[in-house]
Amino acid sequence: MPLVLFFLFLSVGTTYYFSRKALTGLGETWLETRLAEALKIAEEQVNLLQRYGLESIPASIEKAKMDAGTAISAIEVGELGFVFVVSSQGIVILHPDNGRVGQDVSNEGWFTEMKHGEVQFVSWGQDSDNMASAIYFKPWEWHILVAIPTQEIYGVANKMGPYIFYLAILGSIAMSIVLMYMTRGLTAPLISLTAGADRIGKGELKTRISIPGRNEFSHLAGVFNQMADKLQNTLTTLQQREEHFRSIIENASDIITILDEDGTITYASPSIERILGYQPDALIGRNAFDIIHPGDRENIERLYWEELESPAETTSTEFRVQHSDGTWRTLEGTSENMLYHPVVGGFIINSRDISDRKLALEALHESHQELERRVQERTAQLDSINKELKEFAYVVSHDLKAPLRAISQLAHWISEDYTEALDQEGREMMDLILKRVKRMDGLIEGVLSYSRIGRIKEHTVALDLNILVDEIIENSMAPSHVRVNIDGELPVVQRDPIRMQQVFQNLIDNAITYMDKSQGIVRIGCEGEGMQWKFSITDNGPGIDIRYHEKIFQIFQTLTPRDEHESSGVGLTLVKKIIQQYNGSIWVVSEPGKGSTFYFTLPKREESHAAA
Amino acid sequence: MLRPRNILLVEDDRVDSMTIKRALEEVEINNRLDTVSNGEEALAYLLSAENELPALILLDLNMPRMNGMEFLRTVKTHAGFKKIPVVVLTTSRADQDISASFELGAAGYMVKPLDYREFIEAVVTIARYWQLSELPE
Repeated sequence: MPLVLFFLFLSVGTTYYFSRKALTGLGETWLETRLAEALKIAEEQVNLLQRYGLESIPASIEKAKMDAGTAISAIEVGELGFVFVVSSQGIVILHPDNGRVGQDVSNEGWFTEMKHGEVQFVSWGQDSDNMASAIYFKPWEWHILVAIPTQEIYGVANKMGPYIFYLAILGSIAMSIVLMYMTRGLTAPLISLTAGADRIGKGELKTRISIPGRNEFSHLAGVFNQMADKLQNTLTTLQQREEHFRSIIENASDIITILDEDGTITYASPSIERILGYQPDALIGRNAFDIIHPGDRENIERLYWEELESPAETTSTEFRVQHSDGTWRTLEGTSENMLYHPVVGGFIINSRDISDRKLALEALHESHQELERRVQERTAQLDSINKELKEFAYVVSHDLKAPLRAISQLAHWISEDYTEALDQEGREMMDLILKRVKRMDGLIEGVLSYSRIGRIKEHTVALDLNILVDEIIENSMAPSHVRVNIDGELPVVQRDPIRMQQVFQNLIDNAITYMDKSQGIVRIGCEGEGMQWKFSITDNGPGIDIRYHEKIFQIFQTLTPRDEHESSGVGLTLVKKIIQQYNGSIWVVSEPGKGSTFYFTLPKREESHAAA
Repeated sequence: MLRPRNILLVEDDRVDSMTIKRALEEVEINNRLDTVSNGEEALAYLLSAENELPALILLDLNMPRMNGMEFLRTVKTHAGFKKIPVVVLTTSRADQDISASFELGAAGYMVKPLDYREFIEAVVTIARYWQLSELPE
């Protein structure tokens, strides 16, 4: 608007200036015509004088000058204008104001100006400014001047001024409107472009600009819209991707938290509410260490600092976290230091609830412990039973054997000291007492050795059964009609030598003791059967009826009278117990009258065949 | 060659005492045999000023009042008695009795055989050994 006003005043001023200048020109022309008229009158008088040859008669000349003066005075110059004459000496000769005639104006500036050339304005005395035009009339040495007050000349213009002014204002307004309209034509597209850019800047990506026509602006708008399209597409894709990943994170059953350097939570995935009861937003800004169990805090802080120092490491650990209800939950978490990642800028902790797993494990552990406790209880019971048995064995060995020994001693003394008092029958009876006492002692020893199996600590060594069995055969003192030998090779086993000796000793002794053939053969063999060894002791003795295949392994059971074959009835029971102790089995295959084979198995334990 | 000092037998079984006595007589070992029937009596015997300290103690384990082990422990912690050799003569073949006896300082351990002849052999072997073995005075 100030600009408009400036233009307005400029135009008004210009108009005024030009109109005034035009008026001056007009006034000058007007004055020129009046001057020409006055000159013509003067010339006519001179001509008249010449015509009548009066040019040298001073009276005639005076007369002519007077006539001319009258005529010139009569010339009308507007309302206030007038014609006057000044002599070359500067004396006013003719002037409508008679008072001024005869005045000397030679000192006036305009007179000097006039003498040297042209004059435009004259004034003296109380005159206001007059516009003037002068001509020098040589015959009479007159300066004829036509003057008119400038007021009169410019009066029109001055009167016209307001009209011009209003006109100028109107014109200016009109011009301004036109200008504004034209400017609008230029600025409107710019404004809409700016507004469009602003809206896009504010995120209104659907903004499009429409500028009709086929100028630079509409082209620019087209380019702008294309750019907006691309931006919107890119942004939509980005938003979709972000949504995609966000939905993965937010629907994951694992908790994802991001911590800053101090452990302050900057993000928590929604699953935290399901698992720990906290609103994710409520946790933001809190320190994660605050909700970790005091017992785990030190460890977690240590891991945190370790990872802070060496970000390449990814650590995984278990820790307890407080649920919003105050209970503790066990989580298993993996953390990754992404503090220096430009976008993440934090620790990413990925944790899952393993409380149930933990509880299940604990329950398992408890039931395990319970089981263990029960086993221990049973073991303790067993131990006490074993102890009782031990004590029982001890008592048996001592308390039962002591009277037995006394009987034996006394019987012996009676038969020695009272030989004469006893007859043959009496001495035989004494012998029978001694034999029964021995048998009783054997039975007691059998029970004791049976009770010792599994009670006495075993000494497991690498035992070459070829050597062991050879020794047993040598010491068995088999009668000459019985041949005992090893069939092939026996293995080396990791067992207690005493136990293995008891096994082979009993089986071989039985085979020899009960041999009823004139050519007795006892063979000891072994073959590998997968994960176990299968041993066999075969004889060609009397054989055992199938009815007794079970009974022979029971304690104190014998198939022949003890007076025939002195036996404790403990041997096979002992063998069976040892074999069972070693997780093997024992059985007999027999054909009565032809012989028997006792088989037993032993699981292999890093053993090798002696031959190998 | 025979040491004149006596042998102390700590034995509650009369038949066993008779056996040992008989055995010593049979092989003409003439040391006096003093018999007491339990640990307490044996200690009283040792502490009595009337008795000379025995050259050898034959000790049964299973006895009333103070058993053989208790007696052995007491004797072997007594400065005056611990030099006396104590041979355990018992029915028990139990490992724990054998090792405990030697830990407590027994000089020997013998299981009483059932057979009288074997019994005599055992007693004689012990007696002969301790007759030959040098002992501190």
